[in-house]
Amino acid sequence: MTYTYDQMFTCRLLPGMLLCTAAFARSPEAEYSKRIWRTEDGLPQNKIQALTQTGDGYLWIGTSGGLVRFDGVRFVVFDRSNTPALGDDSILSLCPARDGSLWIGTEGGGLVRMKAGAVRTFGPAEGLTNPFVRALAEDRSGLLWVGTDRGFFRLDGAKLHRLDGRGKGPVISSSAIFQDKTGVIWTGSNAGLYRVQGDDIVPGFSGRQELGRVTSILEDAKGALVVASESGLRRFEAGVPNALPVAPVNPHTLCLDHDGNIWVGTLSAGLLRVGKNTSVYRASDTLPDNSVLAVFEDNSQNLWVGTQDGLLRMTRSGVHTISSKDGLADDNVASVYEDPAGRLWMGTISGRMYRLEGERVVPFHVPVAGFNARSIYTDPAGTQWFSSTSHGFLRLQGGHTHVFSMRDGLRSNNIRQFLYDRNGTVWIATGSGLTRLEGDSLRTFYLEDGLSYGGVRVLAEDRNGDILVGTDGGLNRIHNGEFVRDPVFLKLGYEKVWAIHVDGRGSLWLGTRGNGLVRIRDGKITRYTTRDGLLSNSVYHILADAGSGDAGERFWMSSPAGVFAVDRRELDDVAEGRPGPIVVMPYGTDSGMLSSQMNGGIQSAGCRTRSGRLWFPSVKGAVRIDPAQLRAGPSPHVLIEAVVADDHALPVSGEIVIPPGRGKLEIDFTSPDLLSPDRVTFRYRLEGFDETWTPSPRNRAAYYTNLPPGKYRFHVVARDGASPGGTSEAFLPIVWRPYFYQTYWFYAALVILAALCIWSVFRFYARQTKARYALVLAERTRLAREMHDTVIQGCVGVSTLLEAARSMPASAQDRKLEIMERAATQVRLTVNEAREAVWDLRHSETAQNAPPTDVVETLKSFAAQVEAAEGIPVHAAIEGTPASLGNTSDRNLLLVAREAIRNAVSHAHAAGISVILHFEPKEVRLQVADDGMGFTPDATRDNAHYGIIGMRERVEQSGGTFHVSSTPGKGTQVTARIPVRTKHGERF
Amino acid sequence: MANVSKIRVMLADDHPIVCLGLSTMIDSQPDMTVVAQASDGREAVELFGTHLPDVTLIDLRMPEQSGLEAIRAIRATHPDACFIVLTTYQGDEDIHRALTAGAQGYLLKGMPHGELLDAIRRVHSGGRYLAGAVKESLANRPPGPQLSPRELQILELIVKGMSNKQIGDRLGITEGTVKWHVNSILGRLNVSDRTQAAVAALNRGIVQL
Repeated sequence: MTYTYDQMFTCRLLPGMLLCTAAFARSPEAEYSKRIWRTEDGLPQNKIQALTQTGDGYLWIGTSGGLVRFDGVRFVVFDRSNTPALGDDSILSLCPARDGSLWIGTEGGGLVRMKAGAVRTFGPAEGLTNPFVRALAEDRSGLLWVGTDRGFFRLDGAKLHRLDGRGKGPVISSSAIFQDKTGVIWTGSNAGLYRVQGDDIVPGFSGRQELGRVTSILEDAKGALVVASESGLRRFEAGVPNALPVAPVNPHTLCLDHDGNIWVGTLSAGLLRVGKNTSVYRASDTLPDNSVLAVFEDNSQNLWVGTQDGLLRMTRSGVHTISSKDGLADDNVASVYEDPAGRLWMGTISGRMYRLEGERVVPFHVPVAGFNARSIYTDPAGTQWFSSTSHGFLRLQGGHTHVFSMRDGLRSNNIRQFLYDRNGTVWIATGSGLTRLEGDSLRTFYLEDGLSYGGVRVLAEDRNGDILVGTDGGLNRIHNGEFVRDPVFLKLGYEKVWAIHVDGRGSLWLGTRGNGLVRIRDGKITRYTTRDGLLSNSVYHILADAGSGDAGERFWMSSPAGVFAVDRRELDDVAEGRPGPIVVMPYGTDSGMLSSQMNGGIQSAGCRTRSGRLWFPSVKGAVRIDPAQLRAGPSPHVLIEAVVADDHALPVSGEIVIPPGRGKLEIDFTSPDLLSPDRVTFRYRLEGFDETWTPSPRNRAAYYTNLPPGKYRFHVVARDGASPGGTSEAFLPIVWRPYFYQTYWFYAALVILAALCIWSVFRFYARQTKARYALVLAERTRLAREMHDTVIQGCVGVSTLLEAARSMPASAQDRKLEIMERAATQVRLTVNEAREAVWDLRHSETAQNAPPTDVVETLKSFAAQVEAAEGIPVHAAIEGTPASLGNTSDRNLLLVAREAIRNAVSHAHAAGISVILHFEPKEVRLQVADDGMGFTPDATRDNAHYGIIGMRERVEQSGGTFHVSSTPGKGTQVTARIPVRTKHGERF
Repeated sequence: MANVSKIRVMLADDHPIVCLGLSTMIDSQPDMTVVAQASDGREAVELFGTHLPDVTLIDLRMPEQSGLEAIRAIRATHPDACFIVLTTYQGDEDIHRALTAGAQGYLLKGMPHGELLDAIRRVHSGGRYLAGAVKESLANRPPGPQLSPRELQILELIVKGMSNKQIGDRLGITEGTVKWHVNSILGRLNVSDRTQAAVAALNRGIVQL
């Protein structure tokens, strides 16, 4: 029976595969490169319980601490903290549905559907009586089957319909569901296998199977069911159990790969691949942990293995590394070389040589003690030449050894390359000069011989038999044993030439250190750098493969950033004026290499074996690439994953409408590629903001700050470097709503407001001006009144008197003199009044609207002023009912009072002043008394001096009487009586 | 009968010095004599009745009753009374009003005495006498503003420098009404704002200080 099973695989295997498996049967790792992810890489937990892939290309990882979405680069975790609908963080089962949604079975949190960002929980309300969902499957009609710890369900619409425990039927705990080719739904329970029959479940097979708990079911290529159960791995062909060639302990999960291999994950014994041969993968060599909980093959044929302690990807990448794990003393490999006998050699920087025998690494000890060989060259005669860092070189010829060193004529014991030219001459590149072996003696060429630089890195023979010498300072040509000037090489200058490849079409290709790849043909130099897409500007070695199918010859170049392959025709097209895309396929750690840092500068820094494989030395072992096995990843499928506006994530569906904010926008996008995500490059553009495309070779997010509100369209294009035509693009309309203050109507309102402000200010100033003008007018009016009352009146009076005098006959001399005397007095008074008018003008500003002469108030305020200014108590008393005497008399009264008070202050040096204004119906009496020094009233000089005459005249002008009584040392008393002529004060 | 032939003059002026000057001037003339002196309008009316002067020199601006009122009152009972307005003002409206009220002469104070005496004699003989400057003012007088009493009242308050609100408070009317009147005043005086209105009112004698 075993034979039959094996036959099944045999018929499916390709001849190449046979060779493959045959060659690497001993070590399972030979076929798969692996990569492990753990919490430090972004997983929420290391325990991986379920794995699946949705149609959009994402890998979904059910961990004990959340659901994880993986696009090959980024882990996005969904758990209760960000997805409350997820009833529990522990995910037991996953199932993608044909409508694009993902079904999630949780440990205690029921069934969850995630569809276009919307998450819905199915629990008791929907009929799911047990929340521990261990198995999920969608059948070919689109029905979802749900296995729980107690109950097996089918989703009918939005309700879960339970199939077990009906009537006499058994109650089961379902942990595996599978639909076979005939359409039968099988479920694995705690008590063996069941199948669905109508609305019931029935035992899977008649008779006892004694399987115990069944945890995984699948159907092999022959239509037999393979079941992982407590009792082991079983195979049922037409219901009849038969044994498998392997009997793993604790089989837990099963996976059928694209080649028909069955992968068996066990709970304690690692992972098995059951096919033509059985391979076992264990924690000791491959797995992160021996407890395997989930195994899944994605659409890129990567095998994903979920273990108790991490996630493993196993990829048949065609890239394999020989490292210290395989027996090298250290990982830092300096050279790889296939000798004419087809044996592969490798030398480490530390000076140890190894040979590969099959997959076995065999150390080779040169027969000279202390000679640390790091590379080997075998000439066509079978002579082996070994180079060293500091001991010169060793010739091993027919069992005879000869070490050549500086004693023999080398300029340096640091040997970098041997070249056996078509004339049978051996050339030796050293750290200082180029040496030619002539018999057993050495001829060394140095700068004086025409070598451009001492340090020689690489030698090659061109089609004409010239030797090309690449140094750390230029490229040289030796023709017929002599250095010759090459004008084209001179044009290169002091380039560090580390690799030379002479192609069969007459082009010379140079790998430089730091300056890209150079093509020289017909005197024309073309340079390719990272700007053209190269992985690095340092090219350590150039290998050409045989080309495959319609793909032409490819150049494989090693660099400090990994190995990359370029179609030579694309390079030629650029050089020959047909610019087009240069598609670069990178190989590095993503492809299974332990490091992307390759080694160069010591030959041979790479080789192509007769079987077509390519070898390159790296700091982490010797890397082997099998171009025939390299597969392209899936076509790019760009997806916009997240929109984060002002640090708030927004659901990505339809048009994104963002509330007013600061204009900080992040858009995450990706193109899921689980095989080689680093080959996918992006460019994006925010239409409405970006003028041009922004290339984003690696970064899968676009950031914008200070984005003004408005309508935008985000446009992202993904391109797969490995498939030039393969691009994918996505759009996302975005509307960023403005704050009210960012709207046009707000700006309009602002403009209106500003206009209003300006208008108001203008109006304010206009009013101010008017008010000021009104003030000026009032002043002017008042001044005019004052002028009228004082100057004009006075002048008119004087004028009248003078006219009267003029009209008198000459005889009336006495009368004339009297009139003239009156006129003179009037002029004096008028001058005084005019002066007082100015004084009034100054002090009446605060009382604009007061009647022109309010005797009482003015007198009181004057008394207060004097009291405040002179510090002399001035007692002002008003008796009777105040009434006006008319303008002139009121003014006269006030002026008299003022004069008297002033006299008391400035001449009498009074200590106290009393002012009494006494109103009687017929007269007003003013009395000003002080306690000052007094004077003799008869002293005319004093009278004049004290303005007594002026006071008297004023009073008399108003028809009143004036009296002064004073005694020296006993104060002064001034009394003015003015008769009341009118009863109503207010006039004008 | 020197007394009979003499022109009997009454003075009405509130300024004692002016009265003194005028009476000295007149009394020094052989053909005229001052028969009474009044210091306000009311007194002028009373004294007129008592003395029945031939010619009355009257100031327009006097306490109690303005000269104009006094002229009107006197002419109401003595239509043949002769008045010479004696004033410091030469606003056209003053002159116009005085002439309308029945004054036959209009003199500006400070005139040469000859002019005054000439005017008294001219008016006494039934003629009219207008000082040269007064004639000019009168000739330049634009068509009458014809302000209503209310408008005149408001214009006076405007001249006093009151705001519409103050005017409204004073007159017991709303500010809006005042505004309406002010607009009307501005129109009638053919000016564009209240300041100009005030200046025009003073210049033309529509309102006196």
